[in-house]
Amino acid sequence: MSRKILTLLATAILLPIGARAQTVDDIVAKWVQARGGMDKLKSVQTQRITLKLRGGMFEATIVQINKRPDKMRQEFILQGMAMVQSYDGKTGWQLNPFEGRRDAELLSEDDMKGLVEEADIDGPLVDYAGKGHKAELVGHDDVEGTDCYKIKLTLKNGDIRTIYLDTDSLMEIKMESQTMIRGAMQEGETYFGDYEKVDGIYEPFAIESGQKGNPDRQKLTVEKVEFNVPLDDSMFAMPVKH
Amino acid sequence: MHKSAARFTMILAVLASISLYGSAAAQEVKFDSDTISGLGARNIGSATMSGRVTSLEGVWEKDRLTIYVGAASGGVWKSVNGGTTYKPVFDKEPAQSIGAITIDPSNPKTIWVGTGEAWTRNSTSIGDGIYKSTDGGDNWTNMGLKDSERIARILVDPKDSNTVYACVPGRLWSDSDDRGLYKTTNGGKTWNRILKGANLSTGCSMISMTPDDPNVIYAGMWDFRRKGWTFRSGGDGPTAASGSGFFKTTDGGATWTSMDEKSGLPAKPWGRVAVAVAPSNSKVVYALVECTSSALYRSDDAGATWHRRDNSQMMVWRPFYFANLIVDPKNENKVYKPDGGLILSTDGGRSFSGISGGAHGDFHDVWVDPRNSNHVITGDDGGVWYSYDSGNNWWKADNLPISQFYHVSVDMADPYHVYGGLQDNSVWRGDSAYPGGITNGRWENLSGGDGFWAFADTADPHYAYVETQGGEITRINQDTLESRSIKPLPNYGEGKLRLNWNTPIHMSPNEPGTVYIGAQFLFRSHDHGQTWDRISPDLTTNDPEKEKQEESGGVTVDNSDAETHCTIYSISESPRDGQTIWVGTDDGNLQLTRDGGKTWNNIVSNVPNLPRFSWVSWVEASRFDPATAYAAFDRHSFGDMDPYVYKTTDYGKTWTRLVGPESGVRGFAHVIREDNVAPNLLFLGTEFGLWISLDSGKQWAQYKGGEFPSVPVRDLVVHPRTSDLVIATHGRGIWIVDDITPLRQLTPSVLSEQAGFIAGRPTEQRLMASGGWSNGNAVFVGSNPPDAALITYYQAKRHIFGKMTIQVFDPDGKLLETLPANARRGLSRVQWDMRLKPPRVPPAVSIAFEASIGARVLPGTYTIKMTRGSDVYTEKLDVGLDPRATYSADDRKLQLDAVKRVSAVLDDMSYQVARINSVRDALNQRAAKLPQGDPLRAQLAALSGRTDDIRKKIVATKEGGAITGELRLREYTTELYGDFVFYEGRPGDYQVARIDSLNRELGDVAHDFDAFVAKDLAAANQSLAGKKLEPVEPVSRENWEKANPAPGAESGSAAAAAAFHAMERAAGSL
Repeated sequence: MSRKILTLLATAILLPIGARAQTVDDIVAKWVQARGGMDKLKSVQTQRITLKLRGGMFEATIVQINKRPDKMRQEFILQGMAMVQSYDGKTGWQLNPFEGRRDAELLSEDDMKGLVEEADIDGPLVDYAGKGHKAELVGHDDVEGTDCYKIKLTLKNGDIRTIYLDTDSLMEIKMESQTMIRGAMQEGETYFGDYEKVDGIYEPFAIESGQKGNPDRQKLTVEKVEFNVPLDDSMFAMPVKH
Repeated sequence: MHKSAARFTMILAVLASISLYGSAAAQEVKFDSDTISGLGARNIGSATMSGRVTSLEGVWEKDRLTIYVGAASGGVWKSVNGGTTYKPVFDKEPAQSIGAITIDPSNPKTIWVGTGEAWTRNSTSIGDGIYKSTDGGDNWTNMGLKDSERIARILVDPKDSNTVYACVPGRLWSDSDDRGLYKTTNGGKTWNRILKGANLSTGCSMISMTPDDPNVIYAGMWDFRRKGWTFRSGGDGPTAASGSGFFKTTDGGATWTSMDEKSGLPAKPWGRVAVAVAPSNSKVVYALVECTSSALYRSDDAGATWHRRDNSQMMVWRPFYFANLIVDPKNENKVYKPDGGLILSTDGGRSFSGISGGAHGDFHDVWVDPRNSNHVITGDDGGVWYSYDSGNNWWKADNLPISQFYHVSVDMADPYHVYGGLQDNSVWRGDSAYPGGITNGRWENLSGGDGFWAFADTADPHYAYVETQGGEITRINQDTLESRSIKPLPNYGEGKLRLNWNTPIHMSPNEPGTVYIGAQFLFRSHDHGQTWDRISPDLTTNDPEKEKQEESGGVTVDNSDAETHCTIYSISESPRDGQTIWVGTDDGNLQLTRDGGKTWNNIVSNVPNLPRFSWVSWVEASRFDPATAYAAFDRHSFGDMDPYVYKTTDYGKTWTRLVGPESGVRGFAHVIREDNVAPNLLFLGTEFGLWISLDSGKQWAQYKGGEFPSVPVRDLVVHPRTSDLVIATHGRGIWIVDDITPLRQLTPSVLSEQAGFIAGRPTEQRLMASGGWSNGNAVFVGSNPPDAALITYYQAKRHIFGKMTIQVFDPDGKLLETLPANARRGLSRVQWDMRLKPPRVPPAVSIAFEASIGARVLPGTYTIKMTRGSDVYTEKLDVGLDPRATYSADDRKLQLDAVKRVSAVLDDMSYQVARINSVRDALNQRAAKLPQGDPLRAQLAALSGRTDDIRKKIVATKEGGAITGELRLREYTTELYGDFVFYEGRPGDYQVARIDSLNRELGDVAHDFDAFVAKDLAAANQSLAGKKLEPVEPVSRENWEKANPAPGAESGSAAAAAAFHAMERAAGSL
């Protein structure tokens, strides 16, 4: 019997109790379990993800490294040249060498919001309350024909992430974002797929990202996910002017 | 297909194997929106004509102006930057006609929307109740009043957000008890009607609340009714009894006082009543009362006594469409009155001035900025307009594609044009594609007035037939825009021809240039309108009771042609037989001739379960069989909102109902079309969207691709060459679904597969072209079709676990590309840009962007392979040249050959730079091992400097980001590469020759370096040997190739990792 039918039957039988029991924390806990369990997630101290990006007519490599508790660095590599954005737990900075400049520049608080969020190696939904975020189970919603749990996550800074978990597999298949940048809301959406297990943790290997409602999304293919690779703190720090 | 139709339905199959995440297990076959909506749609607008705006509201949030715009049939649009950009926020809701928008005065995030327009013109749409959002429009909840059909105004108690009033005119086309003024005190959970009309056709037309006491409310009540052939505002005539009235409550609606002629208002009977209390003075109230002497009235004592004020034309004209009053928030004597023109009084209503300026006209609402009365926003039949000088001059919003098309057609140009007419917005021709995007300027106005049908003349596409209200048909020269009226005229003593507001014109599918137009008679011209043949008797019921339009209007006569009835409404000549012509009339006749018009038969009585006199909204002869036709009947003008769609296969003797209430299709039917190729593929446009059937109408699914909303779909056409589905929405402009070929192949057996490719049309490599310019953010730009090969496939279930990829192989079987796939259930599309990998480029001071793009592959037959878990699917993909290309396939080969040769130079150059760098780095490393002061150390440093001098002959190196103008061999070569990649014809001889000279110049530098290696480096190596240090050797080509594989080689992640480590080192050395 298919998983779908099992779910349908379970829903039918357990509805009176299930309707009450289905809290956001239940679903988040199940999601953590489905991904590999909290112990597994917490065992990851560092990670390196290598992706390929397709945008328009070109293709670039993206490498993201993370180190607990709050460091991350992302590189956009074209013709062997890397545009860098990084956050070392305190300072966000960027370096764009594409037009001949090699000096790192500071990022504003608003422009580094994404980096700070990405610096949370577990993502904002894991232990959301401890991080000061608020989660709410909005209910069920349909993502391109797939039934999902819809969780509204209000980040500590007020930005909103709406997370869609496939009710069958509990994997996250979509995330909508509302981020205030200089007082204007920017809305994005990201789709996740091709989940594979890496050291016991399910990770998405296909990511599509774009502005909300715009069907032209950038496509990212994850080529490699590595956990617990040695990463020196200096890699995240803003380089001094040379 | 028919026999297997049952397989479309959702089957909960019990399967033999249990597989948690398995991809092979067949599960259920579903046919629903998600099966078909993976073929996305693109909106080409336009916002240049925009469309009718019924209501608008603004609110300052932290010094930024938020604006909500309600479209007559295009949803709610929100701007958070004072109108610079808008986004639609109501698209997921099942009704898109907006009557009222109100922002809670206590909370700018709480928005109330009343659906169903209250400006009750003949083409007005319908709503389904009142909605509330508590998050600024992101999410909406229907809070009831579902049978209200239309809502004119909503007021929120400024002291209690849970107390809300909804002014419901109610149903336009039928009696209903669901109308009047409603109140909730629990935020919309329950509603009480606090003011009821005098009869079943009287509802609430307007309410206004006193600023300092929310329990004091004024309410206009309105008796109105529209039929297909008449309209009344008030009673059946100027002096006939009417339920209209005007009331006041001082206790939040518990008790009401009627205001009438005793207090100075005009004598009854009345039509529509509008009211507005001055926000700055609760004693001052204005009321527009429609009656035989319609006028504005003013009270200075909170409604106790009233005094007659202005009755100028734009005060009293067409109250059913314009009965609205807006008083300036700070000045009780400043009053705006929307009408055909917008008028403004600055003397308390004594006199009014026209302030329409350059705006479109037919105004419906005004918002006055409470912080600055000079800042005014208005909405009319042409969209939204901003004024910063209190209405003296207007700035058009160019970013609201809420255009209300009635019809659409296409021509055979490449790219093709679309043609169509719109409510009060003329007839336009637009581009289906244009380099840089379809800007507002890519649309050309071909006429004026209310536009309807338009066709390029099939005999001479330099001309078009365009038609505006009441059968005003012209033939227009599309190059010069000279136009000629060719409207048929009545015969001696005949009075007038009855021509519908939306008079049908029809191009013969058999004879190029032959055109039909329908009055009560059918006319046909073989000579572009020089002569007309009347080829039928009166085909309508010719019911004199339905031909009294001169009496239409109720209190105020209103005979604009909009109610002209007993007319032909739909015409279709059989593509299989030019003698067979089907005609539908608005008064319920369905007529057929099989002898070119000599004899006609009314066959409507053969249509089962169809009430008499039902409006024939569409009749369509099948393109596959002369005996087959489709007919849609629209009964909304009788208050029946259900779809009625039928099919005959025996020349109308018998009919089968394809769509009824049980079909799941919502909304009355406007258009039923058969696909050009697949007889079983049908498209149905209703008041609530687009529906598609794959099985001749047995099952229907709503199309929602590309976020296509539940907007009225009035017409659609499948382009005969491109197989694009072009959709005319009445409220959201024109949408195009590129290449619907895959829908033709979605047979039940395909749908029962787990996955598989679905072939599309052959791919064209469209010309590379760029256009457009910086427009700012405040303009709408329609999307182009993707510049890529579209690869379509089907999946029965969303793919979540494991790799899913699509690979492309060239005609020789070499892997060219691995594409990420879409995971979604149903049809999916991915794009392949048909490009090879770009060349390797030596590192320099900056990126060579032109060399980051690969050349397009040659035309040919490619193979695509989908890997989904352990399942593999393959399909051929034919790629050809753009038919507009002025170059041949052989020219393309020359171009690609040039690209490859210049790429080889860049490859060699990359190696040469790597070779130089390897020596430089090694020299530096050896030097570092020697003690300070060692003469060899200085010597090695000097040699290192010389290698760098050689490198600087190849690549630009001046850092800092300034415009250095530094061009070296790399910069010249990548520029040449760009010249070849961005034009796909035969390259210039001088360009090809340039490859050789650049290659030679590179060889010269390489030779210099060889000499350096042979002499200077060899000497240095001897000295190094003396110090027991390793000799320095340039990296070999073989080793370099291993470490830097050519792009496209199957070691992407290794290359990426190498690149990453290289950057780690680079970052560390900053």
